[in-house]
Amino acid sequence: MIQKTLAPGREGPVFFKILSPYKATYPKALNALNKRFLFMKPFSCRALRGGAFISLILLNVSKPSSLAGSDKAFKPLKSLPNSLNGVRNASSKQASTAAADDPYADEMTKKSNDACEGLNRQTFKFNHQFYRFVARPIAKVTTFIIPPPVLNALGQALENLESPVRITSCLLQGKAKRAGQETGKLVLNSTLGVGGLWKPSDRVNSLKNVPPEDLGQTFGNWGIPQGPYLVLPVLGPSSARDAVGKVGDTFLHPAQWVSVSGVKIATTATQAAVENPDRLDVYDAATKDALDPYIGMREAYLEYRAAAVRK
Amino acid sequence: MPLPSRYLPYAAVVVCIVAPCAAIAASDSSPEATLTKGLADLLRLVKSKNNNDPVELAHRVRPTIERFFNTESLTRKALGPGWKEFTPAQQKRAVELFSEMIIRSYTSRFDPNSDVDVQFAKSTELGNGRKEVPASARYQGNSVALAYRVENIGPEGWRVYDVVIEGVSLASNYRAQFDAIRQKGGPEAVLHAMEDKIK
Repeated sequence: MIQKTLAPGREGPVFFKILSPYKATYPKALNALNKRFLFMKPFSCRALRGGAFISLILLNVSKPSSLAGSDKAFKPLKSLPNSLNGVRNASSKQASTAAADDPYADEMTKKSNDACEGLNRQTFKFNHQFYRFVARPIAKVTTFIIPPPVLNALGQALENLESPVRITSCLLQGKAKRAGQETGKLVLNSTLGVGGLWKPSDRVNSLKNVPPEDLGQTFGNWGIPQGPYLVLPVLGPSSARDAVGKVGDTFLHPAQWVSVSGVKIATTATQAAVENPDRLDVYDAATKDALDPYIGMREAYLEYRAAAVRK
Repeated sequence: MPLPSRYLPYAAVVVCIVAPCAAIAASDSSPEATLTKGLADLLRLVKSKNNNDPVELAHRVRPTIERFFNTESLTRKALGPGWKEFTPAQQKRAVELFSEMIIRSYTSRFDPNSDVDVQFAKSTELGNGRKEVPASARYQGNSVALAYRVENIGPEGWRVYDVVIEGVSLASNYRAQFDAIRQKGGPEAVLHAMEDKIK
């Protein structure tokens, strides 16, 4: 296959050449990644390169389906050379047979990338027990002590506090209108809504249903694949891309800008307490009626995130 | 951790009310009109008795769902290419079990005393005689994005064959689970898994 490659000397950082065995499988992906990381070429910092390399491994090179899970698939070839007509005819016959076997195949997402399934399943089991014996009793106590309206108000205030994450993500994706809407929500809820405890923005049509953004979605918007599915201890479902994005989100959170460690701890503790019941509700919704709760949660998470990137 | 929307559980409940709303109207009506009329009829049916028992509710709504929901298409989509490995008798059994599983699952979470407000948007073409009707539902103070995938099955009109809740397809979610079970134990293992779930 003829493929456009980068000019000699423009292949990107040298360490990416380690990935050369994958070049046969991911030529376009590797070229795109090399282009993306060209800016790193002048850097000599090993730690920086090492970090990027690990991220790259997590995001892209675990197994072939990692590309299948990409939200922005590579454009297929529109035409084939005449010499490949036989191949084309055979492919179209195979496609029609496949369509007869599975008439809804065109609506299905590609197979999920679950390169770490063994480890993920163990973590999933641990989380299940953790939710059962620790998180659920805590949630019961929390909802008993704190009346639901107060809990809801706290949740809204924390959501308001996360506005910088959403605004930055919108801007990084070039979604100026959405960034403006998020800013409008922040101003309105912080003032009239007393720091976000109330949500007057819900009464404004243009600010009512603004899809939330984060850095994981931003990476997805840039074309970076989801990478392997991950189950994080306690936190639950994630992916390599979302886990990296979450680290960035943490730095954008205003609580991290405050030098007083007490404020950071208080914010994190409140967030954990407020999110806990929601997390359990989502866990139950995705697993309660599933034949295999692990797969049920995995598919729900990956599809939900892919849809969030498309919004 | 980006949670799959805190409103996802509420969305699942909303589906039990709105999902079987297809095809009450005549075959020449639009999918939006079909869904709107179907929703009104189903809500009337649900609220006809003040009984919170989910088993009784499932029993009550089942004929309506089976009449207006294409359970065979939903099952076929959920089983994917594995469908052809099932004998006709197994296929029939799979449709019965899967529809029972879905109905029980959603009615067990529904509160008949809560109001559901659903606004349908204009449908989009999916090809092969299929359409998608986006909707926005409000249930217990939460707003949920839904999409109903409907297909025209001729004189009987439009029928729902999949529901997408906050971007998550019902059939797609079960397909991955069925695939894993079928690859290990074949069609019988899938049927046994569904039977065990219903028990």
